[in-house]
Amino acid sequence: MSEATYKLHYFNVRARAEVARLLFALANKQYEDVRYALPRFGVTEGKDFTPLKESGILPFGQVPVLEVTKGDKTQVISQSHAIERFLAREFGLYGSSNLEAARIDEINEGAVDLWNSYAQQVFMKPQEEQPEALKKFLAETFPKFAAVYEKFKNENPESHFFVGKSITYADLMVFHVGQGIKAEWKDFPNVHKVTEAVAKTLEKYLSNRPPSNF
Amino acid sequence: STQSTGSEHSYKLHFFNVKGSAELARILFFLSKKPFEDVRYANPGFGLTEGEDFSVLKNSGILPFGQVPILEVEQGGNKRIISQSSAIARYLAKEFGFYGNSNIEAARIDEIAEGVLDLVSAYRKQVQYAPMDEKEAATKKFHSETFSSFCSTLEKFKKENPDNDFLVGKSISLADVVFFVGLESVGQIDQVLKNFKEIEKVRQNIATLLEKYIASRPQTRVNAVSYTHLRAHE
Repeated sequence: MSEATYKLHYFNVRARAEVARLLFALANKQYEDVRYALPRFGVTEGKDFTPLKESGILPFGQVPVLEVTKGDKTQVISQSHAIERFLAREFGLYGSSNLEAARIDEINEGAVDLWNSYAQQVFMKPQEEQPEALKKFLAETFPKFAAVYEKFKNENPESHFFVGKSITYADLMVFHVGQGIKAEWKDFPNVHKVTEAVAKTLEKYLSNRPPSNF
Repeated sequence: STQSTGSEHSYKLHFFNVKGSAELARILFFLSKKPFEDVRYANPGFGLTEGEDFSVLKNSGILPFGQVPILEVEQGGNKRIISQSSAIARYLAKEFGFYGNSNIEAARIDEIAEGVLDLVSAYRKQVQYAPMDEKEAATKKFHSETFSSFCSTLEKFKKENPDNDFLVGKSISLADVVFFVGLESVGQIDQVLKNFKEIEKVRQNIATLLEKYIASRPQTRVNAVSYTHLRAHE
């Protein structure tokens, strides 16, 4: 069976493609990381998005999409979480049982909720209101979620990671969302240990990735 | 997909007495023919007067995010709790063989599920939250733009699975269940769906398989969306 080749299409930012990129980095798998400019967010470097948008290959007219080529067949996968889950399964980063996978999903869904709360309470606010809004978010909403993750980690005490013995998709998601919401986990020592372990494992990738504001 | 082996599991689903984000799990149990305890809670704050007392569950400390649904899974004396409606749905889909026959099929199932999530979220924003005097116009716009665009995408997906009765693979999957429940959550769309013959057919096929379930389930409100939580009062 021939090896698959991968082509990821997204804007030249972290946001909704970064967890896929982290999965590739963790699995040490090659892929083409195609990055598009996003002028209305001040992201001027990257390919012109218009041809891709008009190509008709984007199922929902959105990115990211992942092209997976095996032999002469190419499949396009859209929806960031569908892409992530596909890669996590392909690379063995989704736990070793359906129950472990369910715990990974729980952690990730909660992290998505946390990000959505942040987007609503901070990111979508006018620039000048954001610093105050961030303070409030980190003082009120964030600790409630973080406490849940602290509990989840305590249910897997012998490991450095949330689920099972080794790093999984869940650890990457929490790390990424934590960066996105500018959270510090130091008041949540068990989660902090996980994010530190992720940072250490992916040190090379993290220090070399293109800069991005979000 | 992996099937569970070993001793029998027993399942207990906890949610409010509405369809909401637990309906996926209920339908998956129905399709699998596996028994489960369908525990339904009242929530007077949401006008739900029939059901168990939610404060008992809320104060028990067993809800990881303080929310429902949760699924209790017991096997051979070991009890696990799974929270988050989509984690529950995906777990059951895998256990019961409704998650496709390959990673690529599973990815397509996930794509459709995420697309439905976006659709219902858009419906809430564009239609449900629209002021009363703008609702009719908002509904027309939703139908002709967001909903039609979604249907076009699903038609494209279905064309990639031409010889079968369902959205992905040869038999009903989580994608179809999410699609079906999603359609129940976006108001009256039957007329618009008629413009999309392929997926209208899929919807009929799903409805046929679920006929007994639909006829016998409690007649409750739909509630908004499949994958979000009916937030418990703090």
